[in-house]
Amino acid sequence: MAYKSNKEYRQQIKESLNDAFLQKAMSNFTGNFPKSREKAFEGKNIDSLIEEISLIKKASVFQMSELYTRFKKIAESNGVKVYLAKDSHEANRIIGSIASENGVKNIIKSKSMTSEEIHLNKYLIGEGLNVVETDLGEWIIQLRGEGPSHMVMPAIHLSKEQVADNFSEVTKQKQPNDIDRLVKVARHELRQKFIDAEMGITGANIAIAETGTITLVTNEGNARLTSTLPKIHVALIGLEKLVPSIEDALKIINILPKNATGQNITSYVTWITGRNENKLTPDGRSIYHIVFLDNGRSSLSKDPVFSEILHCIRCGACANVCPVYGAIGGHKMGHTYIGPVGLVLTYFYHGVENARHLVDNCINCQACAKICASRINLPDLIKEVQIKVKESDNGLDPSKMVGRLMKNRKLFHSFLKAARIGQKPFKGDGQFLRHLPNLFFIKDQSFKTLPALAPIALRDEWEKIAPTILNPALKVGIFAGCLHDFVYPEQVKATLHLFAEHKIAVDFPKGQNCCGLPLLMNGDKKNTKAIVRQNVKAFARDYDYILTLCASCASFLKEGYPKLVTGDGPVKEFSSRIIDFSSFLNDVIKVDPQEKTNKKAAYHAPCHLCRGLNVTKAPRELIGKAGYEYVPTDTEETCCGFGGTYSMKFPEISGQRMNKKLDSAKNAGVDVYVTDCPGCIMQLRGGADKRNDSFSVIHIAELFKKQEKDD
Amino acid sequence: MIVPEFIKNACKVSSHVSVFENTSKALAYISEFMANGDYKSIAIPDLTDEENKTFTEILSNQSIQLYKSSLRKIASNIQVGITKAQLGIAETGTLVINSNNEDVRLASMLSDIHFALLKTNTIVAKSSDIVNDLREMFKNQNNYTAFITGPSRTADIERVLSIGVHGPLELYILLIEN
Repeated sequence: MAYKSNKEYRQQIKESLNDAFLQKAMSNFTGNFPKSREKAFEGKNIDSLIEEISLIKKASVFQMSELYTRFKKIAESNGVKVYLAKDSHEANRIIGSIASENGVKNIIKSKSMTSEEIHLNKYLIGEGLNVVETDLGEWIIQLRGEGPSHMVMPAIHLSKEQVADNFSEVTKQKQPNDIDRLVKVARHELRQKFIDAEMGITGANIAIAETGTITLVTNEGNARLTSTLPKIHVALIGLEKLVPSIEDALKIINILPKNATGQNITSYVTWITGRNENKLTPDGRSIYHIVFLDNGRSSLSKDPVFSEILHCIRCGACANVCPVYGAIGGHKMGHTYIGPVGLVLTYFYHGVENARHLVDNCINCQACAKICASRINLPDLIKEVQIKVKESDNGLDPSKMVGRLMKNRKLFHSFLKAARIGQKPFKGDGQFLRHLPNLFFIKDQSFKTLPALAPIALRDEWEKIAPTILNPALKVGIFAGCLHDFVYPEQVKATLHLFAEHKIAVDFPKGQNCCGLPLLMNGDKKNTKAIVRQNVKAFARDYDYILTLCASCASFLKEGYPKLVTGDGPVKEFSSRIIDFSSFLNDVIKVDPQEKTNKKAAYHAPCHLCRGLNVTKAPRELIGKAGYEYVPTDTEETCCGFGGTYSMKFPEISGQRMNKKLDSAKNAGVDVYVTDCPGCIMQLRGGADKRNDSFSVIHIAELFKKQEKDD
Repeated sequence: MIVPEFIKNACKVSSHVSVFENTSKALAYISEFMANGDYKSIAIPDLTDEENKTFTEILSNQSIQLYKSSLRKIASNIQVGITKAQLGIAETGTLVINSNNEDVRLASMLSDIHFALLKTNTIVAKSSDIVNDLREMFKNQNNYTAFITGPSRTADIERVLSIGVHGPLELYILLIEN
């Protein structure tokens, strides 16, 4: 559905967060998935399998129209009628005419997201036809008049009790809350529908141009019945499902079920070529029509940025690992296509009005990019859609004003200093704001306490605190980022003695500004680029490394800058010198182990460090080197729910994710909860303070703070 | 090691696997299975005339109706189906069944119990080993090939695995050594 405002959308989100069954279902589902996936890929090189799929899909999408021509030619020489529908309306009309020309009354369907995309059932039912979905999940949601909440498991949001109620109604007798029994009810009820239907509609997971073959991947066996029992078979296929060869198809089948449900292979993989035997027709062969759907795919395939979205093989894994999906389920995270890929597809297939507000619901945690079977950079594409939606907005966009303010560094920094004075009446014990002033458009953040701005910004006391190093072995420039400059300077200060001990010259170039990520997240590319230039200029000195203690800044400076400003020598050179704190301390300085403490530490891996920069070993090793016992927790690499401005746009989801993280640290019984990103610290420390958790949340740098001797 | 690998992976997905010296012994096993249950009908679309004769003899003391063709007419009443698989894939415990013949499809789709006969010397290690076989099959004007791995299953309700939705409730793979 289209949301009129963020407020209206959040109201819907609250309903999902308060739905106890949904919460249980989501947490079972998202909790179990990573383990079963890992098992399915055991002994295999996941990265190289994914790389292969990515290349196959890239090449296929590039030659989509040629593949269509090749497929059509061979399929038609086999007696199949092949159509190309330019949009939903045309596809519906074609399928409707096939039905009316053949005197069809009853249609059965096996699961097809493409048919959901064009709202085919609604159209056919409007034409007076009986349409029955036969995939168990699809049948359940059809009985309830709902759309799918997951691409692979469309009824994952429902309980067996709800299903039993629907089945009791349809069979006119009380059905038990027993899953095996309910499955048998579906088997029994639908078997006769298969036999009575004159037409069966399937989708296809793959269309092979070389032989005009379609491939269907299912577990239940309903696609086989749908394509066999009725005299007419219609396959509706998105153009992007075309691949050149059988080899390509086998490779996709090798990865699809593993990534989707953690199965090695599904129970059935069906390959259909030409008109197969069917004893109901005069010539003894099935009447077989294939409708390819364009609906914007051709123009998408030529788009330098967005063509990547056509590489999707519909495994649904992006939803399985998405913290937002895990919090609210599919109905609140998509129009028809759901989850991270759904945010992008909704804009292209269902229009800007259905995408507005919805597309803002991404924390940018990178979990989807990491799991994607064809390595689609979903977070970047979502960001690009946000920009497109913003561009289509009429009137004044408040975030643009923020962009103009931040681009003017001096004005932005005086604004922050003014805010420091403004916060005085609200400040508590120095660390937190105990009452909430209306600064920075902050709203609904009651799930955590917010930090106070530091009395002196790092930039303002730098001359006083910078260590003097003669004959340095290395030269390092500190990129502080807004949070270390203005909120948590003590985290940077905690490490300065290490620079002195290792003879590393350290400098703080004053021309540095915000990294720009918050602006880009707001869809403001223009002002972000201006900020990139400022920072690159500020660091144009002979530093061996540009060090930042903020994982988000590090990932954006290193990976994001060269992507945003392409083909720029100084930007590339700047980015190549960026290093995160844990890698610097562990791998460059190779810090010595400190004296053992008897304290336990859990680790929260910032999204932008573990997935953005693939840094996973260094911080965990550092915890041991700092003399703490590292206690692994199961949610270590899931997002804390902060996501910069995300936590202000979607505070309810942000708070729920945060509480899950804090619970896991609490259950681990640790003394400290360590991370290496000040954004995560703001979220987790504020939450722990609000909840009165017994552990403290600290930056990994603070583990190495020089202890002041009491004696 | 290909055959043990096939058996291991087929069993992992709830297929029942047994090995026999020849087809007659496999058919005798099915007959015994039928005698122990309450079965009245069995579909045998692709047994050869000779196999058919052997099977009829073995079943002679049971009152079981054999159906060779026109399975559509008894679509809602196929209890047991026997079909042949042309290839096996060890890596996933998968059967490859070439089923342009409508009756072969129906026997393997509509039956509650599906017996599949597979020669051990047709089992390959992984799916990429049969690219050329598939290409030969798909070059025909019409072809309906199925990879079957275990019985029909779903996890659509509460993500709990349940066996036997639309396809067979049980899959018996009978490996034939000669």
